[in-house]
Amino acid sequence: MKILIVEDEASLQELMTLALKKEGYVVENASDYGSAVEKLSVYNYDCVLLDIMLPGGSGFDILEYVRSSDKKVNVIIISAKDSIDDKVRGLELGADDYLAKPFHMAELVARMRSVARRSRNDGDFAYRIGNVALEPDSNRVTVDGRDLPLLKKEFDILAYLMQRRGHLVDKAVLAEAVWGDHVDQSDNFQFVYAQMKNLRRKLAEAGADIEIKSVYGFGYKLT
Amino acid sequence: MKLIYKISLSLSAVLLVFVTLWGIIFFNAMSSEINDETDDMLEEYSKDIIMRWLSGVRLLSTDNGTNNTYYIKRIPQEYAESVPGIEYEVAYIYIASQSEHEPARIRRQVFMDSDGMYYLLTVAVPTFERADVRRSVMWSIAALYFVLLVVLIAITIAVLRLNLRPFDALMKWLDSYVPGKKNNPVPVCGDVVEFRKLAKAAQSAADRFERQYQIQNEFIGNASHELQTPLAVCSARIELLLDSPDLTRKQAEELVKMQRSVRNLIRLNRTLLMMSRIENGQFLDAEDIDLSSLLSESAAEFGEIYSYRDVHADIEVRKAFPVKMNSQLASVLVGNLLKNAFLHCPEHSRVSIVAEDGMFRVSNDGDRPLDAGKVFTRFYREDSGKEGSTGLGLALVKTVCDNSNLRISYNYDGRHNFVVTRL
Repeated sequence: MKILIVEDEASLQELMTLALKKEGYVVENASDYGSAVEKLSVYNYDCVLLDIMLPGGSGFDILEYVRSSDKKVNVIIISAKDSIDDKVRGLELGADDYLAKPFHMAELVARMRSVARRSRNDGDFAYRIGNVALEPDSNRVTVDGRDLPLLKKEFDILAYLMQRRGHLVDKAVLAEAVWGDHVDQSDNFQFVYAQMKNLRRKLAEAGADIEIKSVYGFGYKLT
Repeated sequence: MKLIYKISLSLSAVLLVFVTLWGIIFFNAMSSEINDETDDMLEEYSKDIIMRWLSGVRLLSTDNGTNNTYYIKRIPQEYAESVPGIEYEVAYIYIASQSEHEPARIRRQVFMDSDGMYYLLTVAVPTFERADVRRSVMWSIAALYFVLLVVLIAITIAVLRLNLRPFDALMKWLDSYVPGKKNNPVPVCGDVVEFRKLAKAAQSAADRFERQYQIQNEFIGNASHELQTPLAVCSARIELLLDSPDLTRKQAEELVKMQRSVRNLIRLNRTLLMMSRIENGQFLDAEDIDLSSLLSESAAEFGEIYSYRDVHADIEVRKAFPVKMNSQLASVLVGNLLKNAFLHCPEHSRVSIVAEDGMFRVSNDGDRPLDAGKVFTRFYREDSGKEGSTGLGLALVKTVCDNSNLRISYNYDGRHNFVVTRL
């Protein structure tokens, strides 16, 4: 899959490139409006990560340009302006997703995957690892095609980890992602551990071939 | 003290001194005038008696209805020479016709007849009772004082009311002034030069303050906004490092610690940004929300998160508390208040939540009261602050309330109580 990153912030561009290359994507960069339009007109990309505020023009104009051409490109808007108006405008103009800065690289990768999956086979939005499939839209998890009943929190944990397969996820980050901002000052993550224990037990009993490993006691990794 | 009381008080003090002084002077002037008149009369009377005595005409009767008395006594020459020729005094004398003692003005005069004999003529005429007069003067003065006082104060109040109207308007404006909010302009202050000056000063102070407030807000907003990307980059680099396969446990641990600190920074920054967005009115889309049920849901969630501290919530929902506000702000409000209660209460204690229509209260145990004046200010922490505590939670709650027609207050009665009421 070939990706164009349109971003003027050098270090962010570098990091996004690194993270996506690690996932096996082919990545190219453009750091202003002119070069972005030039690249888009010459080459074909599967996905464009698009910043809104660019030197030389607006990301919205690039989006309009992409949509007016008959190329089939997924566009994810990446903007520091975390405002609803921007989001609505971007999606109305035909963006596939919207990601507000600052974001986790893992989050970006997960969004990329889901956008790519959606465009590849319509209807099947499930994350699949081994014999486990997770459907975010219907809150269903199946192991070898059989339903695995999970509580809400267990499902959220599994979904988060499956989107970040192979990455070390800090317990604090996981807790915040699943329980929301409320947990931020909590210095003890026993509640995560309790849910994790149940989730692992249910996965093992259903015969799933994925495993959630504890890493050094402060994080988890799904393999 | 209100200006009107102050003026009334000074008026009554000054009036008291002046009226008292005037009373004393009036009394003295009056009595000396009466004595003067009496003395003149006594003198005439004495002359008449002496002339009659010396010419041998029949003396006047003592009892002639005037209560005047006189008597003549022969005195030796030595005595006559030792006393002054004429003297006056006031004394009580017995008046036979009334058979009682009365104050009287007495005149004594020494005279000599053609035989060289000395006589002492004592003439007495009843006069006024000083104590009675003094008392009655005092009462009159007191009455005068009060009447004057009432009239003066009434006039003063009326005049002040009339003339200080622009000033009152200015005071009302000051009371209603809220920094950073849409404020009315300073009321126009008529044609009095001083008031115009005052109004002008108030307006320019308010303008300056408004400008500074705006600059400060913009600064916080801009700074937080500019910090976002570098912080995200920093966090992402740590994430990237954490994925390296050849990481030792020690290194990974340090990285995770670093990551958590950066996340605290990001959170702090996000909260500041959120506050400045709320203040700039960027959370406008209000919906109907029941704070009571939001409280119940959140309390259950927090009970789970803080079960390791053995803190549980007692929730009593008496009635729904419907509000029209932004849903994100509502959950910020409820979440931060509950988090504050769950986090800062001692272990093994209970958090009580009471909700009814128009009011909810969140209470938790605590040893000593917080500084009620500072509890809602940014970065206020009672103690050194827990790791990762932003010190912004309650400030954020206050900002949300101020912008959602709610009012938050804090009090301490052995427990910390945070009460949110509908305005």
